Amino acid sequence: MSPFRIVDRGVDPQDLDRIAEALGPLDRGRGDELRITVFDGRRDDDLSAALAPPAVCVIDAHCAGRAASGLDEAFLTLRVSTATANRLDVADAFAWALEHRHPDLAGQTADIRYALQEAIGNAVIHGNLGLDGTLRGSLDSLRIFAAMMEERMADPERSGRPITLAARECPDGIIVSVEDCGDGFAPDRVRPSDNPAAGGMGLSIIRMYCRSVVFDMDGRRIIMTFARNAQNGSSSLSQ
Amino acid sequence: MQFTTRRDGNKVETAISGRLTFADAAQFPKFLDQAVKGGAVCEIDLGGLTFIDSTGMSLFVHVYDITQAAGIKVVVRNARGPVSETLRRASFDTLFEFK
Repeated sequence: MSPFRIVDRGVDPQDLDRIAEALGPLDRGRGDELRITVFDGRRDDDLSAALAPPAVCVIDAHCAGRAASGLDEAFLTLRVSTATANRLDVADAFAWALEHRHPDLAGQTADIRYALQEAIGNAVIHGNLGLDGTLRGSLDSLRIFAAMMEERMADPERSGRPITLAARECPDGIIVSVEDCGDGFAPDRVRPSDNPAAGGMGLSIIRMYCRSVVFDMDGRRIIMTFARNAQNGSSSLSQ
Repeated sequence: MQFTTRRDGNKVETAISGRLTFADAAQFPKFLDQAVKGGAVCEIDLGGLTFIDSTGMSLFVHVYDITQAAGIKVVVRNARGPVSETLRRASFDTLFEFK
């Protein structure tokens, strides 16, 4: 039996072949099939449908290169290209997909959404696009930032870089990670700037909505823990 | 992010709708050029805004900096739900008049 089964959501055959080929060597050492849903992030607007149960692993065919490598044992994994993360409301779709699988997290959905939004924004802007957030500090440098963002988003190598979200269970809640393919950073050196337009607020917001936050992979992966019973960093914002 | 602007004498009326997030950062200079230039009053209608993140909030820091330097009064209208809560939690209601 193949270790995986691909569910095609209208993807170009060449992209599907590329992903199936990358999955070929996958050996999970388990008897059950890994269900892999493949969608086209350039055209498919309904990310919530792609993530709906029984989806386990959802891959955007727009991801460049090794779109299917490094998959692990999360109960829900989503890998999107940088362009797709910029185009779709990934945080909202993933947060609701978690709630569908864990109704006991219902009270935490808004917290998870806010934290994920900031983590995905950091993965896009600072990680895969490699942009310096401090350029947003003044109007003149904001113009440079905006031009660089458009230029890098138009570069297929940059816009195709994957961002991977993965959710795992832990005894009192869930752990959600967001991983990019950038150069990484030193989290302990990040402080909110005196100029809030220059950035640094995102990590503060993430810490406010999670029970705990750690980084690994030289800062390329953020790992956030959300408690089941409102034991996170703050009360929820209402939806 | 979608926005419209309309100049009415000394007042610039602008409306932002949709989501205001990191994905819109490349549009910020265009918005600031059109919405926060000239006039004595800038009214920003957020009735159609459904979500804002930290990058979205940074747009309002630029609005504050520009209007303070130019002596322009800013009025924020119709911020609702999570958008209103997020902006107030970040104390933007102490920088702008909220209606």
